[in-house]
Amino acid sequence: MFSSYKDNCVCGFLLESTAQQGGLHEVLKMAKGDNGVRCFQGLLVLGNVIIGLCGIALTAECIFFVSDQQTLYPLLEATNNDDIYGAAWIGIFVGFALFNLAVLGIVGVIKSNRAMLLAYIILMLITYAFETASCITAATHRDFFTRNLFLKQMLEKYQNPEPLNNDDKWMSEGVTRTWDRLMLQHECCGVNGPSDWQNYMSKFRNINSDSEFPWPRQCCVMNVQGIPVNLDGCKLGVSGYYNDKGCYELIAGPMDRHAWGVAWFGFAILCWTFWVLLCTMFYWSRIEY
Amino acid sequence: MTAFRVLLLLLLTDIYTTQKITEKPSLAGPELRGRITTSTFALNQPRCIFDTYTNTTDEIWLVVVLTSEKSKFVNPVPPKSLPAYQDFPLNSSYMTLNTARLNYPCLPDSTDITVLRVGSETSCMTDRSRPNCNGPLPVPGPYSVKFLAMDNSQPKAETEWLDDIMLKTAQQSNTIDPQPRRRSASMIVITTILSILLAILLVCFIATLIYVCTDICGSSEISSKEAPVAVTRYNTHHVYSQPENRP
Repeated sequence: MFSSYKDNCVCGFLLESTAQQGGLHEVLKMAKGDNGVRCFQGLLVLGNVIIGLCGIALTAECIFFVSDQQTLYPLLEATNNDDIYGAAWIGIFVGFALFNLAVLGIVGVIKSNRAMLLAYIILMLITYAFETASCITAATHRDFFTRNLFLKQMLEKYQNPEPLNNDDKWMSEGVTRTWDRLMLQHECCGVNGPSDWQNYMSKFRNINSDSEFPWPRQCCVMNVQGIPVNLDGCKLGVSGYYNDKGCYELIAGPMDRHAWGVAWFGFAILCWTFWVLLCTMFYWSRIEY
Repeated sequence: MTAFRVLLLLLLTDIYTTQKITEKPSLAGPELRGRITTSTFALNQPRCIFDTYTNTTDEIWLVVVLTSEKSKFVNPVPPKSLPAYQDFPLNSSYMTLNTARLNYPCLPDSTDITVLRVGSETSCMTDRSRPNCNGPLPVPGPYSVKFLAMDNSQPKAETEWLDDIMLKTAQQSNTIDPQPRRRSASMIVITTILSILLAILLVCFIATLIYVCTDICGSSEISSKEAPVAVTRYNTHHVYSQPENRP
């Protein structure tokens, strides 16, 4: 990369001027053939290469999160607080923009083109602002996912027989579907355990008597046909015939990975980009027309 | 006449005295999660308790009363009918889970879980033809229970009362507070550092623009006032060489 540049460069021109102008200016003016300059350019190119690669990685990571392998999205949707998905969507576009801008930056630094580098700096600042917003959003909204949030949602929406409107119906069905799948697949019951169904009143309890259903049938240990192995054992709470552990860890785990993945990886990228941008601004200010 | 009546009464009570057994019913062990729910509870089966006092065909009943009304309960003798589940809690007591004593065999090393679940039948809750329905308990209690062995509707033996069984009460779900108690450290770190970095970048960018603008503007202004550069003329070597070579 640098050898081809050497062939093309117009080597060694200096601006002479009278002694009236400050001496410092001329010393620091960029001589295009100077080794120090080439070293600095190399560093900037390297910085932009890393930004480009990180941009691709950020896009890939955010696409992974948005595609929601664990299908926990209905639970978030029902809390009316799915902003960590918004943060991941912003992450996809920011990553793509970072890659493109990194290419622009590399070309601009090698050609020492003032216009290109000015465009690079301005667009990078805009991208930087968006990514900052995405990281802060992901970090802030992760804090809202407490046990009590999911507990309250489960009690109010799981197998809700009388939703208030279409919106509520959609959310209740999503919550019911998700919880059924969670409890059957991961062999867990409730948020903290089966006692959630005993300690609190719920929409489920409104239509299912406590005597028949101390907890939902999905909390019972099932055989391959999907029938409880021992229904009376399950109702009595005999260990081995019902699922004892709570499902909160299985919900919080993927949400944590999602939120911290977006927030901390974005944070790392931004810390690196900060230095590259500062150096680019310095380099830009030193290019003479 | 009155003496004869008193004698008759004494004779009758003498025939119908029930044997008091010192054991109490016991709640099922704490390893059962569903031991006490909001409308049921589980007792251990009365095995080996009634063996010496009853025959195998005698029926063992469970008497359930509200603890506050316990003193009013008397063992029912014929022709009085047994208190029905459907009249509870107005009646403040009912009898259920009747079964022959031979269904409670006294096996010393039984590993089976032998419990009686009080409140497990929901199908006969309003069925008057089943007064001994083991229906769910309607109020949280407290309840008192005892076992009563009857021989052809005559009470024969009874255990002590087990008192103050409180069922679980369910809270309303709107008492749950879903707000997080405090912000996590990560969120504070990310927010502050990123905000500061963005602010620094913007300030540096504006400073760079100002510097570059003054530099360009300043240098062009100065160059217009600049004195012309003195150019020294050089006579190159070959200009003088030709006259030297003339003969």
